[in-house]
Amino acid sequence: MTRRDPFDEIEDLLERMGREFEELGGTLEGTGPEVPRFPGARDVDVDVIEDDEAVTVVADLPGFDADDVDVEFRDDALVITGSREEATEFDVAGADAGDDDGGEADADAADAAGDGAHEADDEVRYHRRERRLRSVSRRIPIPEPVEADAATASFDAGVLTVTLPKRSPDDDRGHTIDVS
Amino acid sequence: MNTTNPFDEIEQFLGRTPFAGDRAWGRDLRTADIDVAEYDDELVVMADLPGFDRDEIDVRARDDRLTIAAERDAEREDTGRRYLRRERRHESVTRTVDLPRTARHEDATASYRHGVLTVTVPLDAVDPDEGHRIDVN
Repeated sequence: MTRRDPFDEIEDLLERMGREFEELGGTLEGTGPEVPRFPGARDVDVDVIEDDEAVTVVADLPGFDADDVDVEFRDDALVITGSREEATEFDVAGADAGDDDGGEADADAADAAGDGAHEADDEVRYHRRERRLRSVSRRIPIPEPVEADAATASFDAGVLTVTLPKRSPDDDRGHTIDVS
Repeated sequence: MNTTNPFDEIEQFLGRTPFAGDRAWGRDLRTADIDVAEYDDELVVMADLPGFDRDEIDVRARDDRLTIAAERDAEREDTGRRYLRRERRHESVTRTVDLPRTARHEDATASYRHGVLTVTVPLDAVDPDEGHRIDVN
């Protein structure tokens, strides 16, 4: 029976909603100087795929270096964290623009001053700011028993793939503790 | 099971629309989250496009519009694989950005790194509209 039980989906929905309320609660308590989170604004989009041998978690972490990504398995859940300094990319882009201006004639400087007047004190004007440029994290419950020690992870083009081999029933027996 | 999960839609209706604001638009599965920053001499567009190859990304500037399209092969349907969660954007993504009239399309450059596409479009310093202004003596 590979067809999905609709009750699983309700459970899944409740779990997700619960997590979103948790996130909201976290904001109210003031977990840090972060941009306020909206319920439903997911930090990290993930796919979780199960086959016979393993549970595979695929997570979108665009703009992160492999060094900035941390993966941990604890309490039957995979915790994925991506850390970065706030708005690094904008700083870089701003610096570039500044360098270019430096090489131009005085007329440009006058232009820049004119622009500055109607764009407040910032020389950059954002038409859209949708990308998340702060640190992110996500906890993904893994519904199957897995061999966390045998897990493998790869990171390519902003996508993290973690493969968690399933624990076979035989292994389970090996973990029982004999009563002497 | 390829059909849209109805519970996702309920979730969207309940949780996202009223609170998420602009973000709700960004959650569309066929689009990409972007930043558009205009500097004095260039427009910088950054788009989150995780998991693509460079040759799967198409960037075009035409008629004052910049179009970013990314497409990858559909994942093979395997009966042995079951999605427990499926939140990531899949297959094809498109996004269009209006360019200022001063944009120099032919000098635009693009790079793709760590799943982020950055398109830089130089802007002419002088707004062509300024030539039409008549000074009052």
